[in-house]
Amino acid sequence: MVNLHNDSNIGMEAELMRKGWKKWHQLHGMVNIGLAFILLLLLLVLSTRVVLRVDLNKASLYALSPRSHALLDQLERPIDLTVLFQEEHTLFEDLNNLLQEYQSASQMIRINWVDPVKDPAKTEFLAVAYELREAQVLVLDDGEQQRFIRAAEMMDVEPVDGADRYRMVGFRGEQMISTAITELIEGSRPKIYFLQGHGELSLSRDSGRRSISELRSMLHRRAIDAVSLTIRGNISIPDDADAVVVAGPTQQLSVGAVEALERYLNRSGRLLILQDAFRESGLEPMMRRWGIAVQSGIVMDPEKTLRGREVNVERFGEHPICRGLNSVVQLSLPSAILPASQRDAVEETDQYSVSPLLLSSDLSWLEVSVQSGVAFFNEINGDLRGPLPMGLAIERGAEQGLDVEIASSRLVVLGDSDFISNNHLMGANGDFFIRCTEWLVDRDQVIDMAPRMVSEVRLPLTPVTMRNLFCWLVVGLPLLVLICGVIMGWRRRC
Amino acid sequence: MIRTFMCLLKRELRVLFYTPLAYAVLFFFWLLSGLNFFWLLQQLADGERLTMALQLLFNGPLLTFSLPVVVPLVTMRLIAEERRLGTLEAVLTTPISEIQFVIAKFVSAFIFYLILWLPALIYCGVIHSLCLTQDVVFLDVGVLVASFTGVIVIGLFYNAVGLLMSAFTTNQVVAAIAGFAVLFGSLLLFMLMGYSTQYEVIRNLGQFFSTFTHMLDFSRGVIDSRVVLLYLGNCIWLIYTTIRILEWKRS
Repeated sequence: MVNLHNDSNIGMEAELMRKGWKKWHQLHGMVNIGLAFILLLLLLVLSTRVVLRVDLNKASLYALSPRSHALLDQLERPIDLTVLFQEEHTLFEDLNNLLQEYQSASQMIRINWVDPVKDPAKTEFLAVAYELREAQVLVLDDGEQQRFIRAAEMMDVEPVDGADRYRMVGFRGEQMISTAITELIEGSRPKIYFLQGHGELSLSRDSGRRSISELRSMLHRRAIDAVSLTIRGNISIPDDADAVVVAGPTQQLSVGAVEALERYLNRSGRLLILQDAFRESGLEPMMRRWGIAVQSGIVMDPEKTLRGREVNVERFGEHPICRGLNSVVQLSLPSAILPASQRDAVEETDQYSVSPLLLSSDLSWLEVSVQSGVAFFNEINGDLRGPLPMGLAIERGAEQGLDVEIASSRLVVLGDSDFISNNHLMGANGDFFIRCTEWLVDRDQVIDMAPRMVSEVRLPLTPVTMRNLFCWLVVGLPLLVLICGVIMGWRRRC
Repeated sequence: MIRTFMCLLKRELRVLFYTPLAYAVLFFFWLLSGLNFFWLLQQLADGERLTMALQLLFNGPLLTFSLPVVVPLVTMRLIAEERRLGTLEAVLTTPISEIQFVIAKFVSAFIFYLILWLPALIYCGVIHSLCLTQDVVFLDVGVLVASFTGVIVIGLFYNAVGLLMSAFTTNQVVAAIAGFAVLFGSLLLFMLMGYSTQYEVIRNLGQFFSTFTHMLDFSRGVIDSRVVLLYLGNCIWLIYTTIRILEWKRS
């Protein structure tokens, strides 16, 4: 009995020890799992610090250009990006993908999504804080300044054939956001003076058909200030002028004004002249000295017109201003702006380049005689056969070999001014003009960033092809597996 | 060691393809992926943006929501059945280590998962040849590499979850339901967090963990080290936990 009692005691002790050991073992295992989990969390936290993100899609709409990466590396303070967009908006998905790339590239980019429908209170707050009048807008705020990008500015659209709707053909998201970031980094807003006093287009809203107030708003949104300038006597152009625009003068400019403009241009100035057909502005001799000849006459382009008066320009030159421009610029009775055969004042040593911007079609001509009322090509009268340039960009740099870098002079001459007036600001008119001004104020890198083309795939699949594909891929493949399964089951039973 | 592992793997694959369930699962998934592809073709016939079409091919709703159902059906029997039949104890008394045993189970399930995706290669070939007639390059190699990277890393994670659920219980149905609940629940939860809330922190958190978001990125050609590490890290941790659970059973 004693032995039996001792044996059961030993058995109980062994059982207790085994249970204790098991508990200890389980505890040990749980601690290990917990530690491994902590290690996993640490790994995840570390992975957010060092991010390697590659886009292997060669035709990606969202991969950031090296220029944008360089720009983001320059950021010293955070930029809050508020996306006031509805989820149903065409651009929502594109913006989401693009902003992910921005956020991954820089920790200085903070994104805040606000859906105007789902969160009206916050939308109201933002509308008051930023004086917003519309939704579907992107706000960039670095704490001191703000930039606004509207949805329409981020996409190129074209009408869908046979349907009352438009489809997106180009995505300008990166171009617009990087531009806005550049402006925030630079901090300053370029100032463009619009010459007044000779019947030019007016920045004032009250000038009726001669008003370009809409364009002024567009420039303002691109962080460019447009200011009126009146030159009296021999006063020179203000020193803070980043560019000067002479927009379609109907009267001749005074000698003093022409001299002031030429002095300014020769001093690395930036000038944009909109010269209407059959209008003498007084700037012609100066333009000739710069290698431009304004031909008297109207460019007629029967292939590119609907009403006869306008020319829908779809042919652009190889110049940063025109790069990526894929919509129509509509000019009204434009004049031809030709490179002069002889340049009076341009010395051979100057770095001089002249580039056509807008070109008429091969079937166009310059109608010199407009009295008859019927336009037709007549070489005897002096008409010129197309294609004809209706805009030129000229850049003249400093002499080579100097240690000090001197900025170049830039001149843009366009053969029409009406295309920027409020009534005619359609198609790519406004965009083209802004591109001209951005080139003049040295925003080359911005306009150089071409929009990403949105490719749409449309396969001509006939009902027969669809039926065949359905039979083979949707029915055939799964059926094959099912037959294999049945055979396997049958073999198993056998 | 390798030989033992290969023997175990062969045995697992043989057992897997010997069950009618495997064929039923294959039939179900291939049918759904076929329908998804057919839907994509219809979209392309009407005209669809290239980015959207690429995302539909690998991340169509039928595929996204069927995977959390399909994977637990495959993984449910891996360990639960061994435990129910009592063969687990017998196997664990042999010199086979828990690591070999678990890895062999996991790899066999993962191979089956890859077979599930085989039709995707056929679809890519079909769509590529259809697009070439229109002079459109639908798929470039980079997008394919990124998409299949996504399929692989997400598959590793899904299978690891299913394996762990199978190790918790002796009942296959319970293992399948638990796996489905975890995978489907997390998919829905993170989708809701990532896309329907206005709170920035919740939104970011949801998108960081959302399989749906990750697959969208992969299918447009983007590979992000954070996402790859998230899935690989989770997969390793889940397999490690499964091994520890088996060690408890042995002890």
